[in-house]
This record gives sequence, C-alpha cells and structure tokens, in this order.
Amino acid sequence: MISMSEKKESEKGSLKSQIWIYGCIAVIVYLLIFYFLQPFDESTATLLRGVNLICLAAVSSLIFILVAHQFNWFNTKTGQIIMLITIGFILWTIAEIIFLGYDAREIFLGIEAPDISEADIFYIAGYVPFAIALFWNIRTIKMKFKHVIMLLWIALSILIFVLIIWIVISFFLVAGEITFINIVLAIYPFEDFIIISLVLVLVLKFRSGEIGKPWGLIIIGFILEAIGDIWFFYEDGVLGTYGPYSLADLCFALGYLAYIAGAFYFRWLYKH
Amino acid sequence: MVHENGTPIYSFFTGKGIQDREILVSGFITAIQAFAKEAMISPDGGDIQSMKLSQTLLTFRLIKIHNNDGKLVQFYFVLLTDLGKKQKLEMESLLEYLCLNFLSYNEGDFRNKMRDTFPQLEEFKQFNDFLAPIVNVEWKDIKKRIKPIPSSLLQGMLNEIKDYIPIDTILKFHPKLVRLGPSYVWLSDDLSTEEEQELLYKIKENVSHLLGEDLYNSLVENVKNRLSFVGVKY
Repeated sequence: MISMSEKKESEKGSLKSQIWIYGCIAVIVYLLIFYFLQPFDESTATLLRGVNLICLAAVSSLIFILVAHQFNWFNTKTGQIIMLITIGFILWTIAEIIFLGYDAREIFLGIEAPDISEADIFYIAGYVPFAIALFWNIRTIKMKFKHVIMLLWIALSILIFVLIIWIVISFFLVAGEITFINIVLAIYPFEDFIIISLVLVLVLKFRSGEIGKPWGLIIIGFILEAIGDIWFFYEDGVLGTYGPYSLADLCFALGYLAYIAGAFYFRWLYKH
Repeated sequence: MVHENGTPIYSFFTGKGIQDREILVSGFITAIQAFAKEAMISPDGGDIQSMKLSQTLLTFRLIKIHNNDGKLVQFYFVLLTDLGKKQKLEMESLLEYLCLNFLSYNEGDFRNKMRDTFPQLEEFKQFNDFLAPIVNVEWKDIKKRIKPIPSSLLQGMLNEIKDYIPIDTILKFHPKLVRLGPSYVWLSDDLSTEEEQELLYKIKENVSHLLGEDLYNSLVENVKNRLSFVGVKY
C-alpha cells in the first residue's frame, strides 16, 4: 500500500521529469528556429549564440554536480569520477564565457576577436578531466571485455580515428597551408576521438544494463561535439566563413543537450 | 573499542603512555557520550561524532548490535589521531574502514564475540596483527593497497556495489543495513538464511538491471575469489 506522502512524492517527481523533458524539447525547438530560420541580425545572433552555449554548458555542470551529490561527492569512486566530469564542464563553461567576451568586445568596441584565445586553453584543458574520469571509470569496473566485444571496440575506434585523420588531412590539403591556428583547430577532433573511444568502452561494458543508456547519450554528445569541431575547423580554419548561424554551433548545443539528458537519466536511474 | 557500560573491549596504542590508559580513555568516552545524549537537545539523543582535545582529534563511530540475550548493545569505536594535516573527513573514512575490517575479522568471528553478554578484552587482541603493519601508513595508501576482507558473500557484495549504486539506495534494500560511515554499508544483525538469500537476490536483480548481468557476475566472482583467498567458505 502506498502512503499519501509517497504518492505526493511520486507525483512531484513525475512533474519534475515532465518539466525537464518539455524543457529539453523547447530548447531543441528554439535552437532549430535560431539556426534554420536565422531570425536575428548578425550582432544579436552572435551574442545570443554565446549566451546559448554558456547556459547549456553551465546547466551541464550543474546537473553533473547533482549526480556527484547522489554519490556522496568524493566519498565514493563514482562520486570522484562524476566530479572530474563536472570540472571538465566547468572549464568548458569558462571557455564559452571567454569566447562570448571576445565577441562582445568586437561588436561593442570594434576590436577584432583573436582566432586563438584563452578560450581554446580552457576548451582543450576541459578534455583532460573527462579523459581521466572515463579512464578511471573503466579501471574501476571489474569486468573484462569478451573477445568479440574487444574486437568490436578496436574496430570502431580505428574506424573513427581513420575517419578523423582523413578529414583533417583533407582540410589541410584544401587550405593549402599548415598554420598554427589550423593545428590548434585540428587538436579538437582528436581529443573528441579519445573521449568517444573511452565512452565506447563504458557503453559496451554496460550494454546489457540500464546504465548503458545514459552513457549512450553522452557518447552521442561527444560525437556531435566531434562533428561540430570538424565543421568549425572547416568553416573557420579553411574557408574563413564561420558566422553566428554556423551549424557547428548547433552541433555543440545539441551535444550539451545530450550530456544534460545523460546526466538527468543517471539521476533518474539511481533514484528509482 | 568501548562497550556501552564503559568496559574497554579492544585497544591499540602506539608509543609510550600511562598504565591502564585504555580504562581511562574508555571511561572518558562513555562519560562524554552519555553527556551528549542527556544534555543535547536532539530528537534521537545524539552522539558526538568527533572532537578536538588539545593536539588530538577523536573520531567516534557508534555501532549497535543485538547481543545473545536479544538486547541492543552499543559499542563505541574511537580513533585518536594527532591533529595537523589530517582532515576530519579523512579520519571518518579511516575509522569506517577499521570498523569494517574489525567487524568482518576472522570470518565475522569478532562480531559474534561482541554478542557475548560480557565480551572480553583478550578475545580481540588478534586484531593487532591487522593494525600493526598499517598504523604508520598514510590513509590514502591504505585504501589503495588494502581492500576490506569480507566475512561473507553478502557483506562482500555490499562492499563492492557501493562503487556503483548510491549508498542511500543500498540502505533501502533491507532495514538491517546501516551506514557504517561515508562509504560503506554494513549488515547490523544476523539474517536468517531465507532473509540472506532474499537480500542477495535483491542485490542481483538491482545490479543486473542497472549494470548488466555480466558485471554482476564479475562482482560475485571477485568477492568469491577474495573469500577463497582468506579461506572463507561461502
């Protein structure tokens, strides 16, 4: 028999879940309108783009902080791992803020934003706690890969790596020169590959359990991130046509939504 | 470790000290805990979790066990450490680790002895063999190198799943599961064979559903290997 307070808690939880789901749908609709209908002038769109990504990165950090709280922060291995992932998102939030800062300076003061800035330091640095967390998580899981699954992981990792190399080399060939800016932009897809490869281990190890699903969402997030990084490299590094309505940013935004959905799914799974 | 009546049950001191210091320390602990319960305005009576005394940090853990007469008896585990760089949370984790190893020591024999109406100091001296090698080792090295040895398959599984399932969720599996500290869950009382099988089945259901059957089987294998290593039959 369910008590009144338990029923009320369940209804409250269900309402919260609905708010989150409708919220995510609303954000996706907003993003699709923003990037495909392009309703704003360039300056407004540039600022809004920055605000979008800052909000999404900040919410990602916050949701993972809540997951870390469920695991009692640093008192469990999982809590420590989730806190490292949170640190990665906090670094990305700082990067987004710096990126917007330079855009705002260009719009209001006319000072051109640098091609490479401190934002790139924070973006690139953000991958480090992700990689450490994922590697540590893999080490913590006391389960060996079956041979078939190991071969599948190796094959997929090699496929992704070769694809990224091929694309990056192609871009360099089209650009016709190797510049420092292009080298920095080329780092991003390779960092994405490392993260995707590590998350793939978790998805394959947990494939028969519910926990495989949130990791699946997170891997989708990093795949979108990789697509966005490659697109950004092409538009900014090769063509020089990167603008506020670039689909690279749509990929980044959808990537953040996938991380948020993954973290939210973790919380829901462990609560129920 | 101190019985609720003030009798020292187990002690391990490093360095020189005054004679019969365990009687002095246990008397002091019982007195201040009784004061906390009587004087503090707290719905559950409250007990002191930690206190600083000059250059010493005292960290406490209260464990309740039903003795062989069916009476609920309290034991205080106390860790005395030098103040300094040591963090309160670190010492809580260390004390929790020591409690878990003490309660599981010798295939759970110590826990059974604690159920005697008058547990004796000498019965637990064997634990010195465990403590002596690690007393001067940093906590971060202890927890990396030495995993708590489970007394049973069930306790072993509870030790393992804490890395995968939040502790508050694990506590809901059975009312006799209690939080030992920041990380570990402990079975506070004996379960009947049926209850134990039910709880193991519940753990299997939850872990398999959440993490997959492969991982569950791996965890069971790990626990069984550790139990075999120390000669525990399961």
